[in-house]
Amino acid sequence: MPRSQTQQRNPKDRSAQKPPQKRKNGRSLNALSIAEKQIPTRLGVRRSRLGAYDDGSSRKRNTGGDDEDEEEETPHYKRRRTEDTGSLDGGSDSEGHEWTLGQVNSDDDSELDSDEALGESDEERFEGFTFRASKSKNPPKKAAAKPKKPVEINLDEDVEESEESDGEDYDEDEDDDLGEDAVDLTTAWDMNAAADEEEAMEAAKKSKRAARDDSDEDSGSEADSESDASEDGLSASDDDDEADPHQLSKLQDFVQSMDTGKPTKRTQKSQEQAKPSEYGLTSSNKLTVADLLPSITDTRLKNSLKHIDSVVQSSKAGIPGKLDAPLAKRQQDRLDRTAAYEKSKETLNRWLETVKANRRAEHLSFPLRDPDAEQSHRLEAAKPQTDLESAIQNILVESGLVEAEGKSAEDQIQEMEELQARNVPLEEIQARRAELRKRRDLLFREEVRAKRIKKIKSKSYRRVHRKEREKMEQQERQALMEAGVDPDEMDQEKSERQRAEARMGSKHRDSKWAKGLKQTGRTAWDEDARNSQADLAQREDELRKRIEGKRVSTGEDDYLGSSSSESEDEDPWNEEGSDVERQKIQKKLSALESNDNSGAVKGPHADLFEMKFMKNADAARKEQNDAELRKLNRELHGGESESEAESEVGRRKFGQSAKPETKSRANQVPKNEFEEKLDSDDEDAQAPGSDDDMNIVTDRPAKQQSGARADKSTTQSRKSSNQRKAAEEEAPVEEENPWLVQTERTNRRRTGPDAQESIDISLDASQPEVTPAKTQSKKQQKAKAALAKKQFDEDGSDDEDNVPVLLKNHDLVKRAFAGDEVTQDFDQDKMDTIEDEGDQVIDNTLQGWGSWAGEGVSKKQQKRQKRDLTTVAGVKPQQRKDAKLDRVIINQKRIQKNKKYMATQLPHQFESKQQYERSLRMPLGPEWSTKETFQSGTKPRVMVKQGIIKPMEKPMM
Amino acid sequence: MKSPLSLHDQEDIRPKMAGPTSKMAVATDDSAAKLRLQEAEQIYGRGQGVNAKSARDKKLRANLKRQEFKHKEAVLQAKDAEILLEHTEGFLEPEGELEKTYKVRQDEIQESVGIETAKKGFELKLPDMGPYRMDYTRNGRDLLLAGRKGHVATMDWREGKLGCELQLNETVRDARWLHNNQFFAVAQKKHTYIYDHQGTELHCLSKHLEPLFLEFLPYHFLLASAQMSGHLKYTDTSTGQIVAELPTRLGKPTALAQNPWNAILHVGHQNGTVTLWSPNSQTPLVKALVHQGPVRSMAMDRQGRYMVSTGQDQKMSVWDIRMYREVHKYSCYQPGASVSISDRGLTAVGWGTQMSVWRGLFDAAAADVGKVQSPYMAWGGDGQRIENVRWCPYEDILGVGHDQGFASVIVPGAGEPNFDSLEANPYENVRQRQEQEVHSLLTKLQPDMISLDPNVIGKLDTVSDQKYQQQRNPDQKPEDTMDKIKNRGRGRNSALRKYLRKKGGKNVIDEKRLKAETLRKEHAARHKEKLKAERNDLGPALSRFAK
Repeated sequence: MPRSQTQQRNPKDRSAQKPPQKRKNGRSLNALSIAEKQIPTRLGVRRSRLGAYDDGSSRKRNTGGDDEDEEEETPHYKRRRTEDTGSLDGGSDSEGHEWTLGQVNSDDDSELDSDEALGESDEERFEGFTFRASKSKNPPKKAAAKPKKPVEINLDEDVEESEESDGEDYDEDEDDDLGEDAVDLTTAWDMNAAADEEEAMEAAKKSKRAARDDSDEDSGSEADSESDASEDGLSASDDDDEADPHQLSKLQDFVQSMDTGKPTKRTQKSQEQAKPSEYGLTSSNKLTVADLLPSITDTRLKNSLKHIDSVVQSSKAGIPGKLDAPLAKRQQDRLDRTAAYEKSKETLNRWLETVKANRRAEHLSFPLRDPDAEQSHRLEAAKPQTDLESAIQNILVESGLVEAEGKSAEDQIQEMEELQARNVPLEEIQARRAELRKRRDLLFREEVRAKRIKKIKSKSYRRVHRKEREKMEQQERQALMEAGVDPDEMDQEKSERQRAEARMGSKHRDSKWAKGLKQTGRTAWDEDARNSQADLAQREDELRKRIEGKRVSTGEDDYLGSSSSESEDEDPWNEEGSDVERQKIQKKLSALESNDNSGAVKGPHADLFEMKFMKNADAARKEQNDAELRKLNRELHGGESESEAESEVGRRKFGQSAKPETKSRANQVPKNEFEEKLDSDDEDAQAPGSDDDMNIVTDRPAKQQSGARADKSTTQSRKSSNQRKAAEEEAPVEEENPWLVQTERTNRRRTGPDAQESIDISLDASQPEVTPAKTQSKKQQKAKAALAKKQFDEDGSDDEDNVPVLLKNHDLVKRAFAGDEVTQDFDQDKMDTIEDEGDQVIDNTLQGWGSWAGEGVSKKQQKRQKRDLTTVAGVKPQQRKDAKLDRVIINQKRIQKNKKYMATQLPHQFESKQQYERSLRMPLGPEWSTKETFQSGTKPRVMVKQGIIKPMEKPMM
Repeated sequence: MKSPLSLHDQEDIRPKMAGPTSKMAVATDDSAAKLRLQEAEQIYGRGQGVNAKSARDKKLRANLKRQEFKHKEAVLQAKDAEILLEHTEGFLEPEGELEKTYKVRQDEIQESVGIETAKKGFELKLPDMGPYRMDYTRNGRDLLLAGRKGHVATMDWREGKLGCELQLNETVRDARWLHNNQFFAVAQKKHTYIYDHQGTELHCLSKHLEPLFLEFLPYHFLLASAQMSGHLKYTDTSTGQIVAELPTRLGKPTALAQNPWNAILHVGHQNGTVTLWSPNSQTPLVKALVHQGPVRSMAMDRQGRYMVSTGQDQKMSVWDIRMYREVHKYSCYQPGASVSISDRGLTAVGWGTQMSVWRGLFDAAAADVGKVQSPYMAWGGDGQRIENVRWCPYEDILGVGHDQGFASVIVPGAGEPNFDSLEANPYENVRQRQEQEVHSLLTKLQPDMISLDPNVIGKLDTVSDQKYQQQRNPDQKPEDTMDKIKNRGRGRNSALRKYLRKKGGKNVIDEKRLKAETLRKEHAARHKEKLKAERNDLGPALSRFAK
């Protein structure tokens, strides 16, 4: 049947193929490739399939047949071969037995040879080249080859009737002459000699006839078996039958003539697959003369065959005779393998997820659980089983608490709808659906809009909300105030800033906006503008009042009004502001008063205030403060105008309220360092402007007290600059240390302060210029410093509690430990440590290296010798852990013994220290975690439980 | 055919309708869970987690994620396990402002508590053998009393059963229980001795000469003594070997205490400094100037965060020993002779004949809310000069050793109410004690593991890691000095110029120098151009002012 189909299609193919084929005959490689391009050839699969069957089953079949009747068949084969080709090599003749079997073998050999000659990569490169080239080498073969083709196909089809699909023949046909040629070539290579023909021919005729009968029967049976056989096929076969008698004789003549002409041309391959039949045609004749015509290159022959051609054309077109030769075994195998690989890959891929999951799983417990088994149990609505249950169920159903049959209300509704939908006509459903879609769309849009609105809410919306928020905040603050809690200083500052911003804001009188309003006269017609103008006026009014120091009273509706108006800026002019301030001031005042009353000072520097001069200064200060307090109180309660107070601020300033003022003043007035400024009580005023002052205050005590250090510094003159820096850094800290401020007594106790001082002066480059000049005013300066310090402490002492009882002991304590230079020693110790652990300079200079050494070398010369110094980096003083801790020395040497418990390098897989250390952070032991944590933390990765561990039957996911 | 579609549509809509309420419920659930986690993290969390997303490796990322999840679970479980802590501590609470807890006397307390508890408050009158030092075992079961004049006694104080009693006939300066109630060490006049529970002398630690104070590190099995000579010596009591001999070089120590968190020993000195020691360093790890006079006593809290010390300068100072900062300083009427901190953070200070207990010192320090104004409880004033105070573990009992004997004082809320029997079991029997001994010996920590930060074990040694990394890719370029100094400074003092001036002889022309010179030339050219441009800008008359 398929045979007939191929026949049927052939003419079409022909017409399409013809020109390229002709060119092929003209031995041009390019043309062939072009033709291939024009006619899409589906190489891989088709060929492979065809080839696969060729290689496998046909051969097997052959051998099988051979096994049965070897001796009988061999002559047939021989005969046929001789008849077909007209020439057989003697070798093959001689080994008749081998031929039958060896059809395959020899074929294989030839293929192997050619394959080996080419190799894989070559094959790829010369795909489509090799075979064609061979064809061009021996074009005359073609005519002889043609008749064999049907035989091949026959075999194929016999083997795989069922498999051969109708669509595939088409392409096979296109390629076939190519394949055949290839086969020809190989055989030509392999075979050396041609065999004699005539006897063989006669024998072949007989055998062919017999084979033909067989094949006919076969084809008949095929036709019966295949249900979808087309009528054309049948008719074609009929045609063939009719054409047979008169065409065959011609054909035979023709073939003979060809054979004589080209005795070497033979294909074993075609024969190999052919079933022994009379004319080398296996079944109903597909071959017509027309099929052979196109392959004739000889013009004379063509002319002579013209009439045949015309006859043929009138009748049906014959078989194209161009079927695929099976691929070389290697190629075929490779294709097979790829196909098989794809298949197996697909099946294996199904396991991939499961395997991955199992690999990644933290714990695996064998035997694995069957996923199906787990899924199976689903809870279904319990059905009442006993009478009582059913009774209760009934009651529940009646009362509507439970739906009958355990269905939920939703399910029922759905069902109802479904039922209804079945009843209603199609249009209605469509309409409904459209409606639904529309609604959905609307909903979606609404949603999107809502999102957008949420994103960009209108200005007015934000304003309203902000106002509300502010109101809330204000109320909260009010509540806090009532509760006696001070809102933060930060808040205060913030509100002040807001106020300033409002002044600068667009709604200010002099702003562009305001001017624009005035000029355009927009207020006349624009409601908003009018409102905001009014708002502005009101605000201005308030501001003026505020400046005058009056309390502005605005009601709650102020907020509402402002919120409804356009105004963007905050409304800082609420009465709370002034109230807050007033309360705060009052609170501070009272705190100050209470502090004053308590009299005693405590805190870390309490002992400092015990000194006599401090007490004196304290008394003076206290008087001043009291006066100030009284005045402030008077102002607050008496409602005096603030302008008055302000005028006074210029003269005196105290405490926090006056601080910024003093600062600015300090900047304005250039200070004379020798001037005694009792007024300038603020240390801020002193600190930034006069570095010299600070130096005196800070350096002096340090210098005086460090008797031992002075000696050291002489030896370490190299690092003196470094030290000085350190000392300067320490200075501010020391300043606050009460123990460093000298009393007269301690000064006296010092054995030789002057001598040490002189050393210091000589050493320190910066100090000499300062110290002598300052000696006269030293006392005053000191007093000043103490004053400043005291002021500072007083400020800080507000929140510290008082321990008055112990105060009297301070003096005693001080006296008791007066001799101990604990702090100095400690500081010295710290300096030493810093030096020890800091950069070490090692002198590698060798005496006499590069200079003179020994007796009589002058000091100058010695000095001239170049020093070889190396620095070993240590911990820099600024980078020490105790750099900011004045009373602590932290050893920064690495503790070697601990090192062995540390990871020497970042363990693999971790990318950072944090990741690694985090992984160790949670302890595993039962002492530090719950039992569950412990167990989950120490659970082995693979657990094997009792049971049969079967291999997984199917992927679990 | 169409109905399924319409159904599908409806399904789409329905959740939207039901959305808000369910979402709300989810939200509240979520926030509750978050809150719970937060609370748990605060107590049981161990630092910030790492960001798993930062990991480049996929597997690592998965591992980190899993690990974080486990941490979270563990924390939550620990929080949940709190339900097992059935006891809570109870403090004395004043009913009004006028009522002061420190006015409550012992007899009042004993009247109001149960009989069993009341029995725990008792006094031992031992007037002859002079000021007593004492110690409780780790589970609080046994008491060790050591009188200055050589009287040493052990007893199960709850039962009132005497274990052994020794008259050593020489000065006894300190006494300590070792890992359990079977052994104790006594610092005698010349050496330290170890006795067993029957009073048999087992060892004489002749290396511990003239010991003043003893301290036992239970997890390391280290007995440490501070000697008259100023040395600090560690002996491993499980092997009997001397582990470390450290010279303090600060004279006779005045106090010795251990930080239970990291097994660091604090030694107080005559000059008011406190030095921190581990057996691994010959120099002190930290040296802090805590007092203006000699340090009298120190104590560290259980979590190793705070140190309370008293000095001869009549101060009691609270130090944060993580930051090494003094957080508060309190004044005493007399120098505090002894300090002790209970498991729940109550601080007992014995000064003169009085003893006062402070509550919430550390909470106040942590919250930064000023000092605690008044003590929680007070005791004494009966003319008994207090020598030593020590809290009894897992009990609301404070032991006070004084020159007239010993007093057991009830201080409500002092002890840890929930004991961990894996750690210390107050009710252990003989077998359990033996088990515990073996177990603790098996899990003994090496003296090398002692460090200021006990978490150092297993951590990455950054220095060696750096070296390793350098080794691994040796082709990493060394830092180019030229790049560093290229743009530093300007004009005459630019770093580049200085380099040319200072480094290398002028006659040595090498690559570096060439590079520096070219750079310098470039700089100069740039400068010149700039100058030129400026000159042009200023015009012919003013160009001379261009700089």
